[in-house]
Amino acid sequence: MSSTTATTGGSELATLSWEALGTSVVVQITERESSARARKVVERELDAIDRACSRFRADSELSRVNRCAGRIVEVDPLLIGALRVALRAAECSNGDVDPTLGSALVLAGYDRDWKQIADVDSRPGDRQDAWPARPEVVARTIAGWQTVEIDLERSRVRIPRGVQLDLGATAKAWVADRAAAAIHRNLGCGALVCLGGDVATAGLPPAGGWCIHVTDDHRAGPRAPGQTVTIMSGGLATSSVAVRCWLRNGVNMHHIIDPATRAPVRGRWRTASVAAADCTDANTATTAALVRNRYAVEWLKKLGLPARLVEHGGAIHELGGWPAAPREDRQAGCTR
Amino acid sequence: MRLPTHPYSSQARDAAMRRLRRANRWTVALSAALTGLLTAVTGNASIGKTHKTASGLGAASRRNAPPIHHSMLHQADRYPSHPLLAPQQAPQPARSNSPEAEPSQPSSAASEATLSPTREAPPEAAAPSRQSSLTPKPTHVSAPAPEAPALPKSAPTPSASRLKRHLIVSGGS
Repeated sequence: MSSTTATTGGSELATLSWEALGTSVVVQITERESSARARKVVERELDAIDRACSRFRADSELSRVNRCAGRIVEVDPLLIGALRVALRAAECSNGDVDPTLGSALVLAGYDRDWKQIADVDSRPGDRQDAWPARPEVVARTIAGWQTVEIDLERSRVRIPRGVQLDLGATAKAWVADRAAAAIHRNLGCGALVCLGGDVATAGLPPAGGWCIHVTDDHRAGPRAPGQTVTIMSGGLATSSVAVRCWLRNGVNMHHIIDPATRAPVRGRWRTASVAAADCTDANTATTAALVRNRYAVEWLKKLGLPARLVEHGGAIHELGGWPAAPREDRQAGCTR
Repeated sequence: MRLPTHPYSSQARDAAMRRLRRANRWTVALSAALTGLLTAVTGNASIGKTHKTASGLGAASRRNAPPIHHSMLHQADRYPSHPLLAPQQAPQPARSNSPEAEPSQPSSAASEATLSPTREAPPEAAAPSRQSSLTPKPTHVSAPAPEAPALPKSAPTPSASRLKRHLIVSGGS
């Protein structure tokens, strides 16, 4: 874990960072002395969500539901909550953010924790040999998010046979919201939680607001081409097809699946960033924007969500009050 | 004295027609009532409608399964969904001394054609002004510099180098 502090507006801003859930965790709080407790609060949330919603843990609640597809399964209420968030995202996006795309992700090759995929891909040949060289025809049940059945009273779930749930599009943002709110609730200070580039805030911000650099890859660091903005509240998320990519039979794959084709999105946008009332909404909008392709502009405008869309060629579109990038940033953004 | 009616007389035919009409009316009324009843029963008994717009996709899988009740689902606080919500205030630009504006950016590969994208919305002026009274006014994060205006607060402001370490990166993951 790394930890730094800075004074902002009379209070001390502390930043903690570590790795969890296969991605980076960054926590900022406006009271330095609460750092240790803030970390504990976040770790508790992350641990709970991992046990409930991980697709890569055999002992998770989600894995149990996926294994028991077609049958009623009693699950932890936390998974029920995560499922409701995922289904709401699906409804709000008209099905563009669909939690029933787990099998499509597996077919695309995202069948294990991302770190393991990256490790295998770093050894040329291994990953390719694992897949059939000839074209493969696989029949799968096409079932949408409407087929997920939830019993709130008895905390039970059923998904149709052949369906695999994947909550990757919403769970991370949701737990960021939960963690930020938990810090603010328990410690009383302003808090920002960033999970793999999905940013949630709660409580009063530091003077000047929370400073966020928006770029293609959250691991690239603040010097990567992009734009730096400040937010005072809510959430900000970025989705990109330029990261978390792998090769399958010589074809570039990534983790954002188009429910219509059940294949990785091949659209106009490389990266979408959206600010919203919370991180979950922001992340839903970014994923849906990538899936919606050129129709995303009208959709985001209609919702009034500030957004920054970057085309594959590098052209940047700012919508809904997103600040215009300085010229030098715009140039830098085009170099990617 | 009443004459006996012939089995094929007009009176017998009219009586039969009346009976037939009555039977028809009862049949129509009963079928309408039955349709309504069955609709109500299946509507309440069918399972797994996690949303109002649940399609028939799940019907096949439900056929042989015990019912799941979802009566509470629609009473949930944020469910069924309200649309995605905009923030109280749109993001604000950071000052020019933020890290990304430092001359370390590689930008030579940019062509003029890609530098002039369609502008979908005017910057900042179009930002929604839904800021709450509790939310502080947006300010730029900057180090005190001779040419830069001071922050509205009198409290000490963070230096750019210190803030650089606290810059959060939002990107794809």
